[in-house]
Amino acid sequence: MRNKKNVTKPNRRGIRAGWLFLVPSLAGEIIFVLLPFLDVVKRSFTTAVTGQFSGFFNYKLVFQNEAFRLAAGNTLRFTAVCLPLLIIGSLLLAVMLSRQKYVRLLKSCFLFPMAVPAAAVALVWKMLFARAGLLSSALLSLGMQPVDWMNTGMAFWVLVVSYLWKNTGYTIILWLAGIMSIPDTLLEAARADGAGEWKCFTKIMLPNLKPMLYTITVLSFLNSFKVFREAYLVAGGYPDGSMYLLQHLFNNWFTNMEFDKMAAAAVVIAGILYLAVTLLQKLWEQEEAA
Amino acid sequence: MKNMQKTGALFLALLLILSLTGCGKGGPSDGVVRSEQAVGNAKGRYMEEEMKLPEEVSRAYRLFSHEDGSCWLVSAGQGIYRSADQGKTWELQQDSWKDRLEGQLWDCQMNPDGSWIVSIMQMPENQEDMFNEDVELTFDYWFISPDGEEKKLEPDQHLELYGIRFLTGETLVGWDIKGNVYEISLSDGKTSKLFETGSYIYNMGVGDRYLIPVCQKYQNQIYDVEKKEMADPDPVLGDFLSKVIETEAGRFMDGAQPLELRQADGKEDAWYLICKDGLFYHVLQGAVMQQMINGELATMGDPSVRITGMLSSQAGEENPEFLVLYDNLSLIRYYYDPEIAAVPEKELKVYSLEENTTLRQAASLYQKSHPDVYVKCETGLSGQDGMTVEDAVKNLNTEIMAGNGPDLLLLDGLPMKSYIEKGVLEDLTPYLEDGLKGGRWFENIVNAYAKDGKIYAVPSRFAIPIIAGREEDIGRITDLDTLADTIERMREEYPSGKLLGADSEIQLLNMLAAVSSPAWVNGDGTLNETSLTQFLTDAKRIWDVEKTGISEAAALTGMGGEEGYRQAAQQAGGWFAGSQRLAAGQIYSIMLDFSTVTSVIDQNPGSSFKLWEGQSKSVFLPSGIVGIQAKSEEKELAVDFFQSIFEEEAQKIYSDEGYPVEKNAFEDMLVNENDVSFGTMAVDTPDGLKTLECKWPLPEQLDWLRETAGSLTTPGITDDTIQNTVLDLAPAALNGEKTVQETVSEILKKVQIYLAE
Repeated sequence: MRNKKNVTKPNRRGIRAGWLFLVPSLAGEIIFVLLPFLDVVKRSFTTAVTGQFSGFFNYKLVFQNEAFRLAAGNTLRFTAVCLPLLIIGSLLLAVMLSRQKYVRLLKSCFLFPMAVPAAAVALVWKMLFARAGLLSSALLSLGMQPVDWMNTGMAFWVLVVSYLWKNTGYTIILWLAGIMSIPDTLLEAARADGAGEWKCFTKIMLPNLKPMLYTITVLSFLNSFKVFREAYLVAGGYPDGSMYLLQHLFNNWFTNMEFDKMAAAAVVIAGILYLAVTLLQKLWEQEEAA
Repeated sequence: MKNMQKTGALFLALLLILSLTGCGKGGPSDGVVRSEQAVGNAKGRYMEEEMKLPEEVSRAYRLFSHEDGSCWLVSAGQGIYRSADQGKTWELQQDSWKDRLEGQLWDCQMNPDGSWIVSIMQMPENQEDMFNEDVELTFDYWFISPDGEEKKLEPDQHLELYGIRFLTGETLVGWDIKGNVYEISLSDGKTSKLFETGSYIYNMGVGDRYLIPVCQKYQNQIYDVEKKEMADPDPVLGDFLSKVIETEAGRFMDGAQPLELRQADGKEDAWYLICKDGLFYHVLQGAVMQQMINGELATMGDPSVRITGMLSSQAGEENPEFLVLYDNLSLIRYYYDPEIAAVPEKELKVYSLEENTTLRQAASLYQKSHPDVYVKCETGLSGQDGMTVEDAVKNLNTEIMAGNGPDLLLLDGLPMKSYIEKGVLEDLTPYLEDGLKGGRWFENIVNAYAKDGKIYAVPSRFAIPIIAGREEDIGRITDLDTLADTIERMREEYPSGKLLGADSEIQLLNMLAAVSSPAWVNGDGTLNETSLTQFLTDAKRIWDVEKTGISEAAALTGMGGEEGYRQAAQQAGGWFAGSQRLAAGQIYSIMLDFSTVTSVIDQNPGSSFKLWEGQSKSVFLPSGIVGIQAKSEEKELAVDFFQSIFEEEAQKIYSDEGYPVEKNAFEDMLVNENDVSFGTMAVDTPDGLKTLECKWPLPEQLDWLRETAGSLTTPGITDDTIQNTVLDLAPAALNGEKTVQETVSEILKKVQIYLAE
């Protein structure tokens, strides 16, 4: 009994301390995220300004809205193209760089694209991708027709390249951190047992980088939303249809006071994201258990 | 250890408190103490009382005070008046120097002892030489003693003084166009240079000891007359003046006086400064500019008026009285009322995306008759920061949704369609019903944005698009297509030079869009592809012809200004100068716009003008579109102010933003009580300066204006997003980068997304 008391008392204190540590962030989360989101949910069932109950009318409008379908499709396509390209490409580069002697010195250079202000990037975009810009001039000098990159389907790929340029360096650093944390002895032992480079990569490196993969996937996904800044600065609220993202739509809805549709669309997207993250987590837990 | 932790915690807490204190109202960060700050919630505020000027005075010029306590007024046309009762009654001074001296009065000042210094410009024999830089202007300077004796001053240097003042009883101070400041002896004309400012001096504060020049490139200079050297700069005054000069640069360049500096009586280092922000008191080298009168609550805040003189009385008292003369012939006495609330009890928030003169004038007028109401005019785009239209609209939307939105909105540039659909705007029909039944307003303009029998937004002003040129050319133009035909035909006759006066594709598109854009949108809000294709085809035809007459230099510099090309008057000037063959644009007023067009026609036999019709018919350009926020907490007040904007009195105030919608005010504007000929305008032509005699329009021309105003049915601004998309992409079709069809499909793609939203 005495022993039990001795064991449970510190635990209770520990639990209380845990809650105390949790309170500030939880309070912040409740005040700044959950409560506003509940307000958004409420607004999704009412009219924008007058606040009259409208049932599922806003959801109906959103699902029937061609602009929403286009923006959602483009955003999905953008994420589907960019994430694998970024994650796989940066991993391969990180593996190659990890063997370089002076990689630590290069690390800060990788972050350079993230330090360039969005306005400056937008200016470079304009210089490069305008119909009379540098790329078109280069094509002309090669005897080809100039391309209006930002007003054709090419605009989507301009967006993809811009995202990769900005985020590859940062993702390489994250991968490098994961690679560096793998004990050299593991790799050396494998090599001593006759494992080749490919085997070392697939059987030792990749399994050890799994926790990093989760972080990188989430961060890369979140960063994919930030490409809107450059896209907006270059092409405004109504860019070429191929690079019209959900952020464009939300931005325009805000300007035109379509708060009802915006709230409904936000709830739909939040639901989809929640499902996606939960699915990812389940898969992750299954893998962990296995 | 515990003690150390406690000490550390205490230190951190102290640091936090100190840092929070730094964020509080420790003191004025801009060096300005506002009148409401100064008095807190207590009572007491300066009030306005309109004094009467002599009825015959048509142009008040200067105001002075005599040591006997009387006020003196110089009227440019009529003479000199004296008032012994602070402006209540005036007495014309017979046989004054104003009647005797010949030439154009340039500048004058009265010394408190009653003596005058007068600068007279001798007009050149040839009027056109007035504008010729190579011809030197001649000024005569006269000293008039208190008993009226005139003495011509002969400075020992040749000086073209743009301003002249008494410095002491024995000496004068004067400055030339280059910013050089001179001291001139009254007795022998001996002249010595005191200092130079290096740029044009707008105005000069002349005190007993200090001279404070207000110049174009302001350098915060103060000259100490006693020590004969520059005094230490005053950082607070310097910052304040710099800001005024920066924000009022346009008005300074117009020759107006947006500020006046005057030494407080008997205190050589205490000064009064009046500008649109209010009346301020400042002690040289002091830490603050003390706001005594808030410009937002007084006439000085009205952007349409300029200050021509200020006097202060009751020297030594804490709250002296002020007499301020404005160029709109109002003389206002400012007196301190200790019983009235320091800040008006009621506040009405009015929002406009950009600074709007009509709204400010209406607010100023309303506050005069409602001293208990503060009309707070908020502007979304101040021009001082990098805020975009979209940012400003988002901020406004957030405020509206948070319940802090403005009571009254000026909808120019705002998403009016969304606001109507979302129920942001109040139905104004009940407040307009009586006036509409009584025919008080142009029903066609007031009903411009009526929807399902309800009116949510009403234009307070409107402009009319007209086109002028040779009768045979004008006769052929009935729409955009025939304009393109006529332009092509005219090029055969005039192989060089501009025809329509556009310097760039975007200028041309803007000109044409004004009378065509309503045709691009179908009744259901979708884009009319056929109409848009036709617009771009015709615009390209016109540009292909027009660009062959534009010099490379003009094309590169985009002459004509950012907005000027929209004005028919400016286009008429170009036509008069021979640099273009047609004048097409909008007319916003009689005096500056319509009369210029009719004057050019008067001097060009065989020419004519008519309503300019493009793809759309009977188009007008609405401005000052007013709406009331449906959730306004001050609805009653907002309605009252709304109605006051459309009252005859407010509509009569001169505005260059368009014609009034109130019929009596419109009629009043057509009446001319002065000479038919009201001045000359020098126009620069390749053959030298050419003078245009400006005349009041003929009765039949005024009849046309009246009839046309009542017949216009289509507001020129329908959907900003569609119009902006077209204007953004269309230049590529005109300059050949893309075909018309490619451009149209690109516009359609973008607009379809907008419409789908």
